[in-house]
Amino acid sequence: MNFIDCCEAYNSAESVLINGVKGISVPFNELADFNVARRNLSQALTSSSLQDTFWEKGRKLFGEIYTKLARSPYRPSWLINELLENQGKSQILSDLTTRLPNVDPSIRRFFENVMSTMEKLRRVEMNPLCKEIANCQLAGSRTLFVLREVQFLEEAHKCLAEVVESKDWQIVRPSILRVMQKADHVIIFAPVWLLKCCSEEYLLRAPVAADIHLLACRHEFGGEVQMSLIDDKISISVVGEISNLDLHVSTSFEALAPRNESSFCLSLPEETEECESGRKIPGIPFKLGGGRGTFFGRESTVWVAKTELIQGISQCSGIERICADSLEPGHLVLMTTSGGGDMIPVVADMILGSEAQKLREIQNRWKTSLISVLNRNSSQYVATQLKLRGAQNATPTNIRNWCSPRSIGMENLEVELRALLQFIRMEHEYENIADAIEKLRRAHTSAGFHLQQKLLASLYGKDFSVLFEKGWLEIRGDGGAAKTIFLVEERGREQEIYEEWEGYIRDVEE
Amino acid sequence: MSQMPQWPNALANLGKAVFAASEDGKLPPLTIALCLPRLDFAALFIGVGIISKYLAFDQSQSEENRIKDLIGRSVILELENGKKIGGRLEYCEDSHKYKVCEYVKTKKKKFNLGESVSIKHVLNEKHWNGVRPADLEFNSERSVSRAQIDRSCSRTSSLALLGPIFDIPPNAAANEAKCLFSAVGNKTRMHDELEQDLLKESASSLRAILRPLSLSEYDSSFRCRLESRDFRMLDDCGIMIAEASRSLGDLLHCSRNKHRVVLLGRNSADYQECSNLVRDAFERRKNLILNVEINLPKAFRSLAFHHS
Repeated sequence: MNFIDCCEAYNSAESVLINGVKGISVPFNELADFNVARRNLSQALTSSSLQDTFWEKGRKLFGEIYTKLARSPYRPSWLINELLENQGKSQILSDLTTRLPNVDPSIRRFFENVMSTMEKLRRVEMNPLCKEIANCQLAGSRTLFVLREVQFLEEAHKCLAEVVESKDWQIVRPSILRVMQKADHVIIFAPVWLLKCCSEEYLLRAPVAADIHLLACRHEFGGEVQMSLIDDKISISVVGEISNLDLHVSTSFEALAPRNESSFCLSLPEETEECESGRKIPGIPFKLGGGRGTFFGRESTVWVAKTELIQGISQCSGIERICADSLEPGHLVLMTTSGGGDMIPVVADMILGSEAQKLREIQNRWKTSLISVLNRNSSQYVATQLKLRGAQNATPTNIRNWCSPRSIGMENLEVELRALLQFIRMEHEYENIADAIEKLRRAHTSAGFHLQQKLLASLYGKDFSVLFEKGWLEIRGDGGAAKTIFLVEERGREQEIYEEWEGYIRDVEE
Repeated sequence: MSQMPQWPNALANLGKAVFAASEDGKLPPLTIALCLPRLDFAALFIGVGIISKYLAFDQSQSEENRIKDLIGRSVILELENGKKIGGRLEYCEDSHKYKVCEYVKTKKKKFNLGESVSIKHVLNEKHWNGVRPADLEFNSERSVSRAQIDRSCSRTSSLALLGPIFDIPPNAAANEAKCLFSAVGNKTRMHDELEQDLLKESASSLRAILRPLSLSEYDSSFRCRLESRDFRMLDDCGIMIAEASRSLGDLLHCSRNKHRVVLLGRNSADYQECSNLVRDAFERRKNLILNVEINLPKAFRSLAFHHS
């Protein structure tokens, strides 16, 4: 950040502390009625222990409709049609309707109430939150609209374009505002308490603009955020609206799980050599599109694709590297899903030129010797022998990997290669082999980088509509590694994971 | 001066207070936790305050005594037409005049500059104000290029511009090497901040004031360390300024005998976790009375306590 931006950040913080943020609570009676109905149903299901998959799916669907409408400018009529008809979720309602004769009459009554309030909601053509933006006086200055939920970016864009007079505005995710952005106004579609639930208090504590509007439905307006956690409890004042809510908000009805909960599990591997290193790191589970999921180390970084709307189509506008801890639902995360690709050795050989054949022969010699030793002894025995010689990373899996022509060699040549060559009695060739490994590794890295750049370049301008529908999209370059872009659907609760689990794609168990 | 906002000075004043506390041998080690909208530049401005207090000089010192202190040292002289030259300050006992021997191209040194035998700028009293110590020494053992002299002129201008804002004395560049503080955090970002001009349209970076050890040109005149988060405090690392991150627990442990300032960025993903750590440390030690007065703007929140 440059010094001028930093000064802006201090000015904005000072202004928010002195003047507070503007709270705008908007009456949205149809949504309030629907909310009461779905919560009643949810409570009845819990108390009657009726929590099978069908009812759980129904509960989630109602939660999804509610949170999407309460925290975004989407049109209710459009959203309900999109979810039920275009995404086929009306099947969930049909399944529940067929089960109604067999359930407690109170549940039947609650369900029918949900359906009738949903029908009323479906008749609302314009989201009242969106309508209210016209009164926010944003003309002639840069405005950022903070949306956590960007599954239907095109719809959000369309709704906002109808009410925002200024042309200088943008939809952003909350996490982007951890870094200073140039803005005069920020409009957040959330009540204060939700910022706390989603660990997004930084939007108010470290504001990027002096003028912050919190736009939320009147029936759920309220909450407080402390300016600091280290001294006296000074709350950031929300000016203009009185809380309409008991501060002990239950988030158990929210479709967007707060950070300290997980509503899904990732299938874990059996206790195999996958976790033979035994090293554990703090990891976060993520539910991805297509019923898949993965863990990322809390401190790792991941590549995400950025999108923008061009002529009504969501297109890739670039990629950026972010901390895995900042990854949120709605992000598009890039993952390598098939190996290095057969093109890497070919391109690497082109880089090495006439030397390539000689280097490959040297590689072949020590790998053949290692394979013949492994044919006579168990990999565990070889691992133990190598460890005795100082090669601490010599696990059975690593040793088998070293045999593979796809692997160039070990990381620490001075210790591990020397130990291995001593064991297979080729230590007199150490200099030659180490030199070959280093040259090949450099050439492979360069080839991989070249192919990767080509693959990533092919992403620019790609139509992501299918990705948002299916939840994932595979991108394959010319023979290089394939990447899959996954839509992040949910973030789970942080837990300790074996470091080998990180980035490994798994199935999701609900 | 009016271009500089209030918050950098507030941070520098905090640095001065911490340095003053650290110099008072009777006070136990002090922790000041500061919660800020952003971490950017904070460590550097606190460092400027520490250096300012360390260099605090006798205001009554005459201009001539200041010039005397620079005899034999490399200086930057600003001429009346605004041009700046680099050279060495000499005193001629016969004429009782101070002279600056300009560094120019010589036949002896083809690519580098050497002390000119003929171009000597004789200083009258009215010139004294234009003499500043160069931020690095040009000596016979070190080759000096025109670009280096130009850079030094630019940095000396920074010192001249920022010095009065942060109470850095005019002879600030002429001190021996001593690590007064170690700023531990995002090293790349801090180095980037070090090079940025703070005032519009003028060379005004903090580099010449802070002189970190990591820049080789300050090997013999460094004042601080800018270190990454895995740095472990040594005895001679001065006051610790730590940008809070997940390694804060380790940093607090290894700096338990040091005076320290902990910076918590309210935009940071680790803010809550780090605040809890600081708060816990405070709860354990809050019976220790604090003798440091801190006066900060509203956008800052702070917590101060003696930690051992």
